[in-house]
Amino acid sequence: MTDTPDPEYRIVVGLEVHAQLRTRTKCFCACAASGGDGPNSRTCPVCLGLPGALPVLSRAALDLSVRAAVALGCRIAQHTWWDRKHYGYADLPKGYQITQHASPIGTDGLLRFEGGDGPREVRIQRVHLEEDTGRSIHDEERTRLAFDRAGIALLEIVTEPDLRTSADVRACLLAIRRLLRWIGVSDAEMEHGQMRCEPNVNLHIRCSADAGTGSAWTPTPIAEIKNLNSITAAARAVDYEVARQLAEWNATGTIGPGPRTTRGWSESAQRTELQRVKEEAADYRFLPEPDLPVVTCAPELAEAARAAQSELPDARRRRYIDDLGLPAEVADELTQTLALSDWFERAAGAADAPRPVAAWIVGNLALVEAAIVHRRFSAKDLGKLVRAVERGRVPRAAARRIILPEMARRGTKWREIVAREGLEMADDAEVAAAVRATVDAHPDLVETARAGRPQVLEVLVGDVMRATRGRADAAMVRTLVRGLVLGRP
Amino acid sequence: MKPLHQLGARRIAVGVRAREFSARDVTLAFLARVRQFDGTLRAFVDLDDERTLAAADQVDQRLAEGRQLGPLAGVPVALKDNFCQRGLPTTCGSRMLAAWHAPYDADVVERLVAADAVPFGKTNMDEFGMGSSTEWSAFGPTTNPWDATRVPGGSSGGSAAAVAAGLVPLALGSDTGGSVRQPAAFCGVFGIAPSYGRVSRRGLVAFASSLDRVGAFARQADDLAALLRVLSGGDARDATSVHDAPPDWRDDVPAGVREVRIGVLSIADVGTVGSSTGSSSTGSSSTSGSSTGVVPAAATVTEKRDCVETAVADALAASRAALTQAGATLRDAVLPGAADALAAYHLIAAAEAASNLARYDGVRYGTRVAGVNAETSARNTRGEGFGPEVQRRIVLGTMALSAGRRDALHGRAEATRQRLRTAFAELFENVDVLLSPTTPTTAFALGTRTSDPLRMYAADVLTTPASLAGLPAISIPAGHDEAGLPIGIQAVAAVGREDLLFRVAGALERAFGTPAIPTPFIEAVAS
Repeated sequence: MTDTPDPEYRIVVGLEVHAQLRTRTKCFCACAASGGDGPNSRTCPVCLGLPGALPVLSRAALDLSVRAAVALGCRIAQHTWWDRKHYGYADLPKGYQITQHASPIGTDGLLRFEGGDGPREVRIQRVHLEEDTGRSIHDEERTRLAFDRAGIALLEIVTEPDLRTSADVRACLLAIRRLLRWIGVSDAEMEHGQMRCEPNVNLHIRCSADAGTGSAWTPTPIAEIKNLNSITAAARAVDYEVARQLAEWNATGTIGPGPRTTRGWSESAQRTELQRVKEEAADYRFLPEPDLPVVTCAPELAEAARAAQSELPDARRRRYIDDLGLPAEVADELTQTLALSDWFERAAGAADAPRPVAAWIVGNLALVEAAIVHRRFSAKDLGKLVRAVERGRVPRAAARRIILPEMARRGTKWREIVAREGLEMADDAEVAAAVRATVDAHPDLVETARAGRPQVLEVLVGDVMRATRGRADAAMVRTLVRGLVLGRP
Repeated sequence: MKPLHQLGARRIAVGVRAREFSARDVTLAFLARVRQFDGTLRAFVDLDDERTLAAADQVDQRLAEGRQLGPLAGVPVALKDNFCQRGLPTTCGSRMLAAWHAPYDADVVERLVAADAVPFGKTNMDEFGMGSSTEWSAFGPTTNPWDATRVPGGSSGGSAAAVAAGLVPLALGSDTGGSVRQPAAFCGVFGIAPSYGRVSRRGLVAFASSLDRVGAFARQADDLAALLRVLSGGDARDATSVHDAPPDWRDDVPAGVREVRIGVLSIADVGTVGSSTGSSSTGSSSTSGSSTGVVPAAATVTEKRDCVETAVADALAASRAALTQAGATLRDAVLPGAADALAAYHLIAAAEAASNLARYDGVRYGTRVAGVNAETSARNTRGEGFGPEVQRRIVLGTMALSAGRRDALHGRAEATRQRLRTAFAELFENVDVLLSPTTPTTAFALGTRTSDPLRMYAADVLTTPASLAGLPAISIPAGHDEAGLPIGIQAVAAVGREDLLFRVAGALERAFGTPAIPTPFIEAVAS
């Protein structure tokens, strides 16, 4: 550490996110997008770039891309086409990647999300559809190539450099992932390579002495960080990179805008390592892809996507807080996936009581999520149970300890369990009888209570609750016991 | 009956269906001709007797099973060596693919087989289609059947020569800037480049994707119509193919040209009539301020234009007279921007070629030359695998798309193409067909242009405009010059109007006669 105090600075981060679209086939051929039987089993003349083979755009990939662009609030291109991006690499079958350069499907979008300490916005520069490349697998002796990923449909989302903290980077990535899953365009599992992100990081440092540019803020060279395999790693890499750029600034004191660099995140070393310096932008010699016609139907598809789009997670979260009065953490939890959120709404409808239902779901999340997947019980089942509890017809403790676990384990209907176990609330006469019997059985405690220590009566309340197996209302039992023993409530 | 090889394709199909002769008989007859004559012609680069006979036997088998045979029953059709046929070498005339065997069938091969045609070997071509003489084949040149010292044209020279010499009744070619029409003219056969998208390109190895068209050769217009109909139709696996049902153009061949409005291209648009070459100044107003002059090479292309030879101009005049006689309305026509087409064509084609050929790095298939690492190996592979003309075009195309030059080169070439499309659209408001020579000259001598690329490119000056606009165009045999070399007349129509081309072709075939097989190839086959 140097003794120099850190200068005033701000962190500037933009994201490039690649997400594998949930299509059955690859982007430009009929090969399966997943599954397969070993390396190079999911290949054909098109995705291997064999002579004479031609790409044909997957309609599903186009649909999903437009859906994503709409959900990200983008302007949709009237004319959208593909471009060939040329570079030479052994796992790039055609010597070019089919991507979108000049006419991305969506531009000028906006994503709202909950940042580290409040609501945030990030502008979306562009959303486009492109193909993945193959994979090079290096070992000591040789490099092997697998083309199963080559031609898989990827959505690329590029944000403006609007993020200012690593916590916001993390929150933004979580929000993008949640949105992509929510609208069904990607499974976005980073550990399965279905989502990749490359943050572009630099600092703007307050530098009053910079007479050269006349600007009070001097940018450090932008570093693009690759090899990130989790959202946590992305946040850590940003933290590391901020510290590194700051240290470099402190050491040299003069670094200004320089060449962009590419740095790789090393998970084992927990640091970024220099991969290459881009002295000038690589010349990709973009050529409009002559094998694919210009697409003019994106606005129509967008119209359909808008009509079919369900409420998006951020809006839904807001509504849960503002209209349903749910606590923010509960609203967060319930809007993690569209399936859970929709399930909650159905349950809340059946119970006619959103807040208790929300509490029940969040309090038993693992059970509920398993129930959704395995269809053990329905949202309506849970809603009706919660309603019965809220109306005092089913004991709360029994519902939590006995009924819900059995519903989740066996799929038994809750009414059945209640009937079988005799779990309906005890009626007044039964409660009164139980109270009398308990009081009669403990003259010693009665005496102690009457002698000025009424708190011992709680033992009797507990006994009554046990005797009724929780089927009585504890407050009512307490009143009855006190009335009987002390002659007052 | 005439010998089998002198029968037209449709006559052969009738004979096979009527069991007059078998598909095997037909194939044997043509195989014998190839064996006898292809030593000097060198039209074929691959022809396997056994496999070809097996295909013919399958046709006979289907007939024996009582099945209805298709329109090309038992007709041998040769394929230019840039069409993929499963299990066969597909070299594209290149060392790069000398040992590559296609693992799948081109769409047109599937259609030929479905029509009961017999795929009949692979024909020679300029490497990846880049050339106008078939001299840029890595496997040596094909010769012109009318004069063995001359080129057959190119790049589909093998197919054109094979059809002209009667070694096969029909053949496929591909036409990017004139690669079917120009060799058809040089060899004296019919050759058509249909509307862009009419025939699927799937399985045609790409040269310049926005210009490449599957084309066809025949010695009779009605045979060509029958073949094109078999080849045409939408293909779900070629996104640029057009899904209109193809009409039956065979009816158009005898339909005549009464009331057809034909514009004859003003020769001043492309060069002057004369016998000297290389000094023509186009004088066309459209040259100034457009794409010519963008690069020195483009300006030089203009300077190195061929003059239209007198014999060719005379053939055009004779065609004009014949068509007038047949009831068509003839008038002079100009095509603004035509003089810029050649330069624009070369920039666009080279840019797309550089892109399409980027995949040949020796990593996944094809020839591989070793190197100390993958990058060096790829460089060595491309240096040794590609011939000089292909390398020249890759350099030009890479430059045309490079940062800083892209707008001035590729961008302006595309703008020229757009203007040309507009010019054609306006022209076709007033005429139905544009008539011109196919080439300014007849076949040139072997070895005279390979060292002068711009002179080689000049052979395509009249064919590139229709290529840039994707318009259907046909080369029609229209007699011979004093040296006995064939002359071709080109007809161009609006997109989708191949019917008009076949009507003009039919009328001129009746006027000039069906092209004969050149003398050296007409002796009867022994046995």
